[in-house]
Amino acid sequence: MPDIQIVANIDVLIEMISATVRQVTFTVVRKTGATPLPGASISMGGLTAVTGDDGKAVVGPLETGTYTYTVTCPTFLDVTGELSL
Amino acid sequence: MLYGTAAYTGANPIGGGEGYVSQYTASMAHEAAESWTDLKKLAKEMGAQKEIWLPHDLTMPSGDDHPTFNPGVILASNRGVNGSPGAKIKNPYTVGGSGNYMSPIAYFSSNCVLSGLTLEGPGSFAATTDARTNAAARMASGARRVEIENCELLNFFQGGTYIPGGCPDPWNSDALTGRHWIHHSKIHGMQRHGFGYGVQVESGGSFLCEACIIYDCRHLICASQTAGTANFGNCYELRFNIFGEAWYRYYGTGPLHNNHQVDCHGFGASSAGWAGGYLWIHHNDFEANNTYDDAPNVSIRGIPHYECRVWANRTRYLHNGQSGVFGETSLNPAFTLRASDGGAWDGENNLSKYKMYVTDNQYGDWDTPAEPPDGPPIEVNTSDLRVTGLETSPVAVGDIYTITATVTNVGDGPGSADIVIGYMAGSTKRPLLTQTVDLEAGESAAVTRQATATTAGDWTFYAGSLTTILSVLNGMLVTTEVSNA
Repeated sequence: MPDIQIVANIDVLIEMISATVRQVTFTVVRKTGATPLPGASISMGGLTAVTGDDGKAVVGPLETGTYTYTVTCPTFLDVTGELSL
Repeated sequence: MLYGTAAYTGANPIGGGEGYVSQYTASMAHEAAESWTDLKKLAKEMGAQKEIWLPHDLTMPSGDDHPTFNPGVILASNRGVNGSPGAKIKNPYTVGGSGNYMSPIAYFSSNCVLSGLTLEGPGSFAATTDARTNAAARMASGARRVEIENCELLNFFQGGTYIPGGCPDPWNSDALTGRHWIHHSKIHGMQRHGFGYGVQVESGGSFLCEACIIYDCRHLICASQTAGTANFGNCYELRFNIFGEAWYRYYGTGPLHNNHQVDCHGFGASSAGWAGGYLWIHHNDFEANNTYDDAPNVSIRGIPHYECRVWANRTRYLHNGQSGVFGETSLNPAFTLRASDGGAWDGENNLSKYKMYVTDNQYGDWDTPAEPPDGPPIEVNTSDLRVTGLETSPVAVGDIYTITATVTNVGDGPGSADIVIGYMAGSTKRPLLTQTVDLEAGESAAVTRQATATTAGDWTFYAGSLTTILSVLNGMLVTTEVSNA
């Protein structure tokens, strides 16, 4: 019985660690036409990423918490927002 | 969407000259340089914010070398004011005091200003490969934020102006510690094989070139690789310029060739040879560049360390319908803008992989718009009621913009005035709103103009003697999806 209890504790611990690390997939499109916008820079939690041809970029890993993000691209109005992970 | 210089809303003419309004005048000058000897002496003696006025032309003596201006010194004349060509400084000699290289006309330390002058060298050097190169105006090594406004630079071996290092952080800072600023100037006649640049940056420097007319150089703009250099490496932003033909004579005696107008080169995708750092090229007019060859408008030979963005330009000539962007195997990978956006790079239709963003440019001939009819300037200030503030904030196309003018009665009694908010079409004022304001002494009131922003661009609004720029940008939508890492 003691052996079984130890294994169960380890499983729980692993789950708790993985649950504290997140990533965010940003999708950026043009307001007019809703076509993907490549080259947009995203900053969040001290990390940066740039969208590809599909307008997507992944920021992470980030610990759980509340973050402010900023999306910038020349000739486009900056977008800022807040996100809870 | 406005392309090229059609989006330019500045009050001063592109290229400077007739009609240019400068803040530097003879009456503000601290000293006048009547001779070359005077100029060299004052360059060493004057300090920041001290203006040296050039009342007439000067010629460098044979065998002499350039002065180096102390930080913050202003060197000015009156190019374009009341028909004046402004003073010219000429170096007619190909050999300077060192006996090897010709002398530039001047070195400029940080925060110097060169305003309203012509700097002329001995020739365009299209017919030579002489090695004694130099540029008309050189920034001192590592200098920051030197301003060249309303000048004409012509006929030097190496180029109009040369920028060795000093890239700020961020690369496009316009602070006193920021990038160099070349604007409302005309640069031409730099055509030596292997050199011949309108504006050249090396060793990790950064500059903004705007509202200039540049033509008849081997390259109009040039930057090279950035290995081992400060901050972001070689960076430039080019906007509202008119780029004429780039051409030279092959090895000085060979056939005439066109060359690409805007250049940046490295040695491929390695840290030893990035093709520049940040390169932003937008709202420029690229005139046809095909008298001798079908040469590209922009050629980035290598991969930028950070990014190259080319947008909202217009290019006059379609270059025989070749695809817009393609690889050059000799300097692989590379990028060349000729006609149409997108296209392949090194066999891949994936420019963003190489940090190249070429979007929304206009190709083919365009009509030169008629000048708007001149209207009388509308002065809304009375002696007592004044517009003391004018503000706006950037908006996206389709959003409502707001222009807010603060009006204050600075007099001793009640007053009334018709306050006008309008926009500038070139140097012409176009009123949009007139509102009568009644104020007691010492009171202030706000007058606002609101409307839907329909067209992207920078728009200059005025009220009283103040102006403000409304940036109308494209809008983007952002969605997010959170998952476990």
